Amino acid sequence: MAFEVIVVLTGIIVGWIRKGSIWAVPHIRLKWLWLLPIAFVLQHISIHYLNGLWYQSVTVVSYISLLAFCARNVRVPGVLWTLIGTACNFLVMMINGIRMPAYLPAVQMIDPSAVSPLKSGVGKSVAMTVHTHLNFLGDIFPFDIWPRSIISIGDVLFAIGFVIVIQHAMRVEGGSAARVRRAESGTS
Amino acid sequence: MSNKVKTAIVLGAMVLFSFAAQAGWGVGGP
Repeated sequence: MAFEVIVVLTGIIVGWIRKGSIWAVPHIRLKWLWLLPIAFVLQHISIHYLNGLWYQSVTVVSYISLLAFCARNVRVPGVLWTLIGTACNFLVMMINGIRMPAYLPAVQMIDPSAVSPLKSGVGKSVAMTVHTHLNFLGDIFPFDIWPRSIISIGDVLFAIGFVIVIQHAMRVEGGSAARVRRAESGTS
Repeated sequence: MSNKVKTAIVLGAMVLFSFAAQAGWGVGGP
């Protein structure tokens, strides 16, 4: 969770440094924004309340919703990165029974109590072994800031794109306002 | 709808996007 929060804060800080404003964010033209809360709720339900085929089906629908949102908005700066990152996470989960392989030494470092449950699968994760596939796309990087987590290459790609999207969103109105000011002052 | 509410809605949706798309939360659960 810490990783996601830091990514959002980084995007906002970069936006501020680039003279953006948080109040410009609603002016970004994102289509199908309603898909995002639906995808989140579906995934929350699948992880906490469902098992077996229901878990797999609902999680797949959640990720397809996220990918559809990215594809619909791929022209927005940064969204292509989030599309690739989400696709990487979805691909490695698809090929491993809709669970993300987690590198056990990293899990041991971050949360030793999670090692045992991971071997049977917990949340979206399962223990990385020689029998899991595309392990390099799994959760392999320990993120040692509380509440600690383990992240994947897909998470990193998503994070890069997300920072770009947020700072772009913060500058949408600022850019227009600057152009208006330049036009009013007669400068180009 | 005020601009502050719209800002909260868009940012909130994007934060949910971040939580759903990234797989790191599985260990230990959200």
